[in-house]
Amino acid sequence: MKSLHLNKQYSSDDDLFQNKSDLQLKLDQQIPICLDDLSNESDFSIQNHEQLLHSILNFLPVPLIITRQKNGQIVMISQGVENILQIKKAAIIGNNIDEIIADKTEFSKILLLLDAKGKIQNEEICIRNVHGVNISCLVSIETFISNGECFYINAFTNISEKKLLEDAIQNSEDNLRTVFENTEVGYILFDQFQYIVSYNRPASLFAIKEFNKEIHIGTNFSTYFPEIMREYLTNIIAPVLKGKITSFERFIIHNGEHHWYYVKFSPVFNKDYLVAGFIMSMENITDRKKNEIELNKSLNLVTEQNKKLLNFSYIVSHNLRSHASNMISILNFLEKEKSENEKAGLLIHLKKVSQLLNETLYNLNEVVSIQKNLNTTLERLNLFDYINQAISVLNKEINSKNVLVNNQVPNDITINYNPAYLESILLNFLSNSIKYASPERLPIINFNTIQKNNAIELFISDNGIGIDISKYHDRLFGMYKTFHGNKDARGIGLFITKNQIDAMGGKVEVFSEVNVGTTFKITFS
Amino acid sequence: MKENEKICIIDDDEIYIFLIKKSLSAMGINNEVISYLNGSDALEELMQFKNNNQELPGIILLDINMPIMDGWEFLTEFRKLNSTNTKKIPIYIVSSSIANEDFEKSKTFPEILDYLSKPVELETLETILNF
Repeated sequence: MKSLHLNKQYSSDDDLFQNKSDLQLKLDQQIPICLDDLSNESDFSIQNHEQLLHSILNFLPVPLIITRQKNGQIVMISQGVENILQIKKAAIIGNNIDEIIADKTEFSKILLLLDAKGKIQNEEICIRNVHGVNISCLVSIETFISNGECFYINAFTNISEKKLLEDAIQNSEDNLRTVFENTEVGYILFDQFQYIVSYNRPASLFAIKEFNKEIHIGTNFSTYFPEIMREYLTNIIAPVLKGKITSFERFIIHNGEHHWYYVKFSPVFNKDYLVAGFIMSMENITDRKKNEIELNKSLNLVTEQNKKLLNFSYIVSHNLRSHASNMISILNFLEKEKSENEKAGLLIHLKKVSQLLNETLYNLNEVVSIQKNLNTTLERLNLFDYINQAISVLNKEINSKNVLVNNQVPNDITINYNPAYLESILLNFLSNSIKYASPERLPIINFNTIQKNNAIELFISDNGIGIDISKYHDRLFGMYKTFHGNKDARGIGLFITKNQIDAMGGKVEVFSEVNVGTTFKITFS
Repeated sequence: MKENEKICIIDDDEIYIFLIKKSLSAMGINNEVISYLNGSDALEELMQFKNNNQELPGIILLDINMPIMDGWEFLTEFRKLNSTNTKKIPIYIVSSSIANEDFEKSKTFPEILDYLSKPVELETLETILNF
């Protein structure tokens, strides 16, 4: 077998068609056409070979066009050309090949390349059929000389369907990429060995923002996280590599701010349903989380307020009911009583009840006003000065009981507070400590502070008679609760004080031991 | 109740005690009335009664909200005091509290026969004293 080299320069048509070797036309690499060496085995004439070539071209489904080099005139075509261009042979022979080329500029470039290289292999070109429809093709061109004239053999491969498919895939990929890149969720694709395969822009921004690291394909998952988190993350990924989805909410503290993320690990399976890797998605949920936290705060506040309100309604009901029921009973007796002396006695009781009722109403009103005046008259107050002021107000009581009061609060501590409340709170605690001083020892009262985060904690400690906290803790700050049998105790001071502290967003705690002393801790937020 | 049995009132409201005493007198009930302003005082004296082999009261009208020792604490302590006594003393809660929490808590003390809200009607008082 010998090959017919189409790039070989033949001297004439006869040379071309009288080749006595075995001929193998590789007009298109995809469809080789073999011709036996007819001269040796049969008596085909040259004329016969030409007829054979025509027959082959008439039969050949591959689009093949032979053109003159000098002017691009089409001299021969295969059946495949008729099929692809949907045109009859007679209508195209003699025309210029340019007429079927859609992209003439591209074709000119191909011809220039052909001049330089002598042949062209699988260059992409667009041809146009008789209906004006563009068809993407690959073109391979060989030259040959016949009778001193140069011809081109243009072999086309229709790739329009493949091209359409490729375009569709490309479009789909582009669309997916657009979504992938423009979503607010960061995605990183890992292989089963936890190396990065792909990632999107939000993921890249996340790594830079939170860890000050750029993501690189081919790097390992663990390298992006601090050492202390690695074991934790390994435990998270373990079930993912076994095919389970894992998700959680976490915050990262960055420059003192909490950045919340919803992180999800989803396994990626291969065609055999084996885990081939996993996708890590990271969604910034800081705003949502902040709202959630605020909502919970509001809910807790409302719940707490409702609880307080209900508690207060019980207090109001209880206290008013006590006096009202006494009044009804007295009035019932008064109606029936005939003795003037007895009537006078009942009236004294009625007067006392009305006085008590008035006092109760005053106290309740005071509690209501605490809630009502929440946002009024907040001032920057010097705690040291206010303690000294309270000591001065109670100077008479302090001296009469020989109480030693130590104001150990630094003189530069200030709090944003309602002045009347602060005065009332300090007077209340100080007077309580004086009132419940132990007769067995020299009374000592100390004022100290500790600064904790953004809060100031004030400690008022005494060495008084103390109180059994295990017994009275729940009732200590209740209204009209007294514990020592002291005649002056009305059980309103600590109740009012606690309300004032609560209203200012602080809290009060008590630590006490019977016959040792009591410490009240007030937190000013 | 028997004529020689004492009526015990434990309440920090002196006017209420006065009015109950007056009501009893108006109803013709001449039983001895012993009254205390808090649970602690009551418990102390009842303890003395027991130690002196004196009879404990035939009925106790008990308030809840009192200083020093409230009604609940009194009940817990009194249960210890009265544990060896075969005679079960009827106890009535008489309170101005309408808190459900107090109603529910009263059910946990089997010695409490009823929870009465102030003001107690004379008829109610008569009924509980004539058991």
